[in-house]
Amino acid sequence: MGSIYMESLILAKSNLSYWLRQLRKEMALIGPLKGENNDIVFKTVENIHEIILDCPALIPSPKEFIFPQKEDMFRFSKDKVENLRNDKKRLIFGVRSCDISAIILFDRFYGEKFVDDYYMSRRNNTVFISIGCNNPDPTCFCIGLGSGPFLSLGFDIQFSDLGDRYLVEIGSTNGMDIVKKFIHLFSQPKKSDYDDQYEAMLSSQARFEKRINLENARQKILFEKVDDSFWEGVAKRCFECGGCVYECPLCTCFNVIDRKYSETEGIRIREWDTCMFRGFTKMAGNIWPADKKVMRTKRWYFHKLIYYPEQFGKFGCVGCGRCTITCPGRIDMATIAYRLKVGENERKAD
Amino acid sequence: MYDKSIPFEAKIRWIKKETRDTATYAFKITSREIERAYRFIPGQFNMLYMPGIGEAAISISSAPSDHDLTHTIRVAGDVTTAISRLDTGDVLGIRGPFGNGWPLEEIEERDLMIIAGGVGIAPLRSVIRHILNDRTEPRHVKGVRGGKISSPARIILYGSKTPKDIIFRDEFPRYRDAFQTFLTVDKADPEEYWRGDIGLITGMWNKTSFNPLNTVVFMCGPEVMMQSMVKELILKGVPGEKIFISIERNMNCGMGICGHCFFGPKFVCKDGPVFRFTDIEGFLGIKEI
Repeated sequence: MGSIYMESLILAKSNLSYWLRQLRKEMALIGPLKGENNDIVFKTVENIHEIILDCPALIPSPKEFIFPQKEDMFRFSKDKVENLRNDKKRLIFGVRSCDISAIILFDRFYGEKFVDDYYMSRRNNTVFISIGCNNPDPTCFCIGLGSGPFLSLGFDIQFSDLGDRYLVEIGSTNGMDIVKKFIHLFSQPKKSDYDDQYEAMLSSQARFEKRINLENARQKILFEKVDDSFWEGVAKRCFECGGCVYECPLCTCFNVIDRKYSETEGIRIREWDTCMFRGFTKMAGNIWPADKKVMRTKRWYFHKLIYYPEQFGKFGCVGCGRCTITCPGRIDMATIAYRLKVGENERKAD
Repeated sequence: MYDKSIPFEAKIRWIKKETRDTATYAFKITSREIERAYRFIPGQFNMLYMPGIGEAAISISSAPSDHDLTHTIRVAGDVTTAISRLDTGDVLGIRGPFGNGWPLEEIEERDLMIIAGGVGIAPLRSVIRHILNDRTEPRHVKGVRGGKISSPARIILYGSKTPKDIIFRDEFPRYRDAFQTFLTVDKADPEEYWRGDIGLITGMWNKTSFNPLNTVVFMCGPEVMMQSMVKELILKGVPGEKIFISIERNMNCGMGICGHCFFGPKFVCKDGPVFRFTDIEGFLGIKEI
């Protein structure tokens, strides 16, 4: 099956900054920029020329723009509750395919039974422009999960870098809206443009160093019964730093807390939380449903490898490889999937 | 509909002390609009909110047909301690109702066995009162001339620590109108007058008579109790599909997204708190995952 999109167009690279500058008048523009310590992070763009598009994909995921690390929910005072929902319009430029795939799953998670207004208002007011990856990083394995390097559906707008121009695929009405007004900047693609995109895709696919099949890991857990000692070994290497959860574009857990300004006034916020922490499931009356580290590490993998496919038909992993970089204990998703595959004996030799 | 992520105000109409650490609170929702839109089924819960302290998930202990919306709260943590300091007329926040509730359609034609331990009776009181309120006795069945077909059997097994810890003690005489009621305590002070049983709730089988294949079990209590109870029930021949268990976990958002209440693949606030035993078989008692 081919791609599902509304239209594809060509944008000359020289027209990009003009287009972004015009869009910035209507909405906040966020893109990958150089941060304070020379790392690259998503930030509000001040100068369009500073946007770095050939950065590695491992920069912090853009999930914080739809699911902020700390989000104000409402302010309460003696006699009223004031909702602090954020519905600013934003354009996030330069997102990778894996992150778009993660956001699509995020949408399903946050809208499955109840619709979370805080998330949805941010989501509905955010347009993503993603870029197909011509140069996957050594830690990337999205190719094994169908979440990259190029997407065929689900994106708002997808760019494919074809040298001096971008092939612009428009995949949603939100995406169409920001193109429509500036349609004079775009031209119709020729057949050779599609050929170039296909070629870029093939060459990108060939560059993947990691070929990780999570389905093998899933089958191994489900049907071959992975010994508990395996998870004990994993837990032993876990520092409980929460780094994987912080970086994972699909970790959605949060904690809700109240901050008091005075006796009667305060604010209710929610902030990122992780199932890797011991207190995560603690209940009143000093009950700890998951007090052993092995339960929590195992749960993290089970949620992503077993429960996500059960519920949504997709793994709770998009193969972005961020945990591979972040995890100090080398028990990231790619490594665990590999170790599950190679089995007990070879692991000991490892 | 109202927004379930923002608490609404409710005023405490009355407080009834049940035991030394448990009390029943009746709430009046301040906003007429929300009060009219507020509908729940037995077994669902609300998030009770003390501004500045936090929220606690507490199951509704009244029946939908009852006049007052009540919660029966045992003091266990910060929020419940704060609630216990409130007085009649005080206001707190409520979000809800959340969760799935007891599958009442299952018990229409079947015998019902209610098993509760400790404050686990609270969500089940909602069912008990629901049955009492809707009872139309005697039951006549069309086509059977003059025939009064006995209504399905209703049994309550309730275990507490001591006679003093029995919640809704004053209501049990009324429950006996429709239910065969069996109370047991772990230990009773010999000084005290107690004519019920002493011992574990699992030891009460010989007193009850029920047809296991036609019985639906609703159960809520400490997880250890529920595990051993399920084992016994299944050995007695009650199908695992007909055993329903209400689970407690740390709940934070109530909407199945914050992740705190995970129970295997499920989230208790969204998929539960009432689970069919066969759906969670692999996770009950195994503390991990």
